[in-house]
Amino acid sequence: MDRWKNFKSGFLDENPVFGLYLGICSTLAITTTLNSALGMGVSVIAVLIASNVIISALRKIIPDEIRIPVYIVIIASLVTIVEMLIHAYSPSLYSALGSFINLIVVNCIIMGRAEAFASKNSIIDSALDGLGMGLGYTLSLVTMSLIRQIIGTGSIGLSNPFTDDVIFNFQIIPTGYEISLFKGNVGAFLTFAILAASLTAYKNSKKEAKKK
Amino acid sequence: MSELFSLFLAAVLINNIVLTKFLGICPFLGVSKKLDSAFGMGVSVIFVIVGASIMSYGLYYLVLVPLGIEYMKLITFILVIATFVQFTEMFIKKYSPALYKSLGIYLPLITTNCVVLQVALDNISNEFNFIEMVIYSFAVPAGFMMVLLLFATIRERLETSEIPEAFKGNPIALVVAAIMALAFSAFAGLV
Amino acid sequence: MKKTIYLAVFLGVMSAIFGGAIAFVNDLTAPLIAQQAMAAESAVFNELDPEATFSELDISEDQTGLIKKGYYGESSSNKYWIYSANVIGFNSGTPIDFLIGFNQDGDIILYNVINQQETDGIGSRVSTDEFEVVNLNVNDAITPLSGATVSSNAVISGINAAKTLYSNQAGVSVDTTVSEPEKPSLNLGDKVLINDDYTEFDAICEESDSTDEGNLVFKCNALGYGLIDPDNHSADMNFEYTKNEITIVVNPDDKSVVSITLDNFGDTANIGDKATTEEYFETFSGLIYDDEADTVTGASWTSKSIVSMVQAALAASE
Repeated sequence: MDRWKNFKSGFLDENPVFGLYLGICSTLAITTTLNSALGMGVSVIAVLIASNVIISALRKIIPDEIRIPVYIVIIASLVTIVEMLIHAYSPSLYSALGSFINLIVVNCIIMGRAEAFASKNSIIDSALDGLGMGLGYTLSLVTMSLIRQIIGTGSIGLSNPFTDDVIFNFQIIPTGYEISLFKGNVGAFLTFAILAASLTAYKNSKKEAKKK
Repeated sequence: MSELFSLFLAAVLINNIVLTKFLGICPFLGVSKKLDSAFGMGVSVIFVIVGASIMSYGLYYLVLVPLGIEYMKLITFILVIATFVQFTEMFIKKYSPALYKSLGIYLPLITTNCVVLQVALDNISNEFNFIEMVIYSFAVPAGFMMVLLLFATIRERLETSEIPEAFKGNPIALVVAAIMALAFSAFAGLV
Repeated sequence: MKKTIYLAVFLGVMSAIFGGAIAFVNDLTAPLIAQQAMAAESAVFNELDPEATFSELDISEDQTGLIKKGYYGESSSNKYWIYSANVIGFNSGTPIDFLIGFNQDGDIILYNVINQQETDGIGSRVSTDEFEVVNLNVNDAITPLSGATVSSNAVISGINAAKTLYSNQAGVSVDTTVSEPEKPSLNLGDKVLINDDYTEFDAICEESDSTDEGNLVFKCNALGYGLIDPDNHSADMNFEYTKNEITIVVNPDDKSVVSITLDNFGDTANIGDKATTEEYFETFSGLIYDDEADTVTGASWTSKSIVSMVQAALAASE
């Protein structure tokens, strides 16, 4: 499979969140701020690349009958390690992401890629696949969090998760004019629906263009 | 007694696992197209969560804590869940092939259902005693099933409505979810 | 059969390898995580002794339930036993959260209130230096603050619980009989008639809607020493005098006082507040309009302010 094409597909055509509807739970809950979205995105990239690499490296010796439990052990261990590292080195990110770090284990993206790709491809290919899917996922999270944070609170900001220093923070919409609905669960569903519909519309228009 | 009742009510209505806590969305979007499959899914999830929670809770307090290896809880819980789902699948296949067929791929997918893992983890982090744990483990999937059924009935009606091309399928389902979330937020002051 | 064993062993080995990896990371990160949990307290510890290192103590021996956490600290010259306690003072909604620390000689080297929501100027004094705790020895009795006995006695009971733990954990014997809190005696002065002339106090009582088992509840306010005679007081010039406010519960059947609680003390701290203590209010129980009431020595203005409000409430109950 063409490496570059596979890498790119994770962004738009096979966007894991808005196209394939995988890993939705975290998307809706985490995307209230840019910081959490980036934090979660980076964690997922880390776990995805690591699990893809390990599973690809071991693919020849893992017996087929127990491959799912073995993948589970590997992914769960990686997630536990990532959780501990975040808790120790970035407590603010830990309290923002809460239990969703643990839920990366059941994030369908990771198990899905392990089963569909890493178990059948070389280490380098698997690593790149993990990076592509992870970046696509992160991009989706960031898009959603930008929309929700700007409309919901009027400001956009980013701070260093390790030291809590503010990197930037500016108010785009003056306070009092923001729609706080978007901060909560209703806004999450709505933003997601609009973004998913936009992606579908884009894909449909491409299909239409191909037909012509 | 009344605390147990409020625990139940809070888990079903106020902190509804799907609309407030955003868990269980994948099956929520996937299975809710027809009422009977929604019902079957709901019952299976309740069964799996109650069973897997009791087993995880027992393993945590009887094995992990005495050995001082609490950090293994994620691996242990997810393996317990996967095993339990496997057994449930074999059980259903043997005793109700029709249900097995209608659930299809969604039954093994209960393993990756965020709700199951979250309930098992919550039982530990909320420091529930055994009774509270059982009530919570029943209430959360009951809330999930309730929303799933409500959602399925709405979607069956949606089939016959005029929806813009881009919104067909999951996007419009999410808009419905948004409105339901709005309705459920009214429960916030209940207990 | 052989295959199944192979599969089980493989899974077991995998779990062991990855379990080991997790254990490794756990050893790496657990101390950092424990550090964060102590963040609020560690700022205080650092001020106490920057050279000491602190770790958590097991406080499961505590029977009172008042001690939340314990810390043991050690530096080259000193050892510390510090306890975090939560007690309910006058404000039943928010507990008083404080740290109490002893060194190896039994001296109290740390008393720090982290959070309290007690009445300003009364119970809140437990956070001030007026409440003498620091530098006392574990065997010294701690004197409750007059006029703030409820709050200070609550803190003292928390400190006593800490003393018990300290004596067990540090091996220092504590003479617990000495640690009983003393109740300050009420110094009553002349009696006054409730139905006397108190117009200068301008007492106003409003019947409130809340009921108390069929009794009448009045919210009253009146001028006190600070507002009636503003040029003649020698107290703290920065102190803002306000009206005294109390809630009086009256029995409608016999028109007697059931209870009085303080809502706001507006007079001079440490002087007039002797007439706002629970013990003084209790002297009003059962009194009717034609009775005599007690006043507190050295706080006659505030006492009469209270009496004026009692008069207004009883008059309104007629």
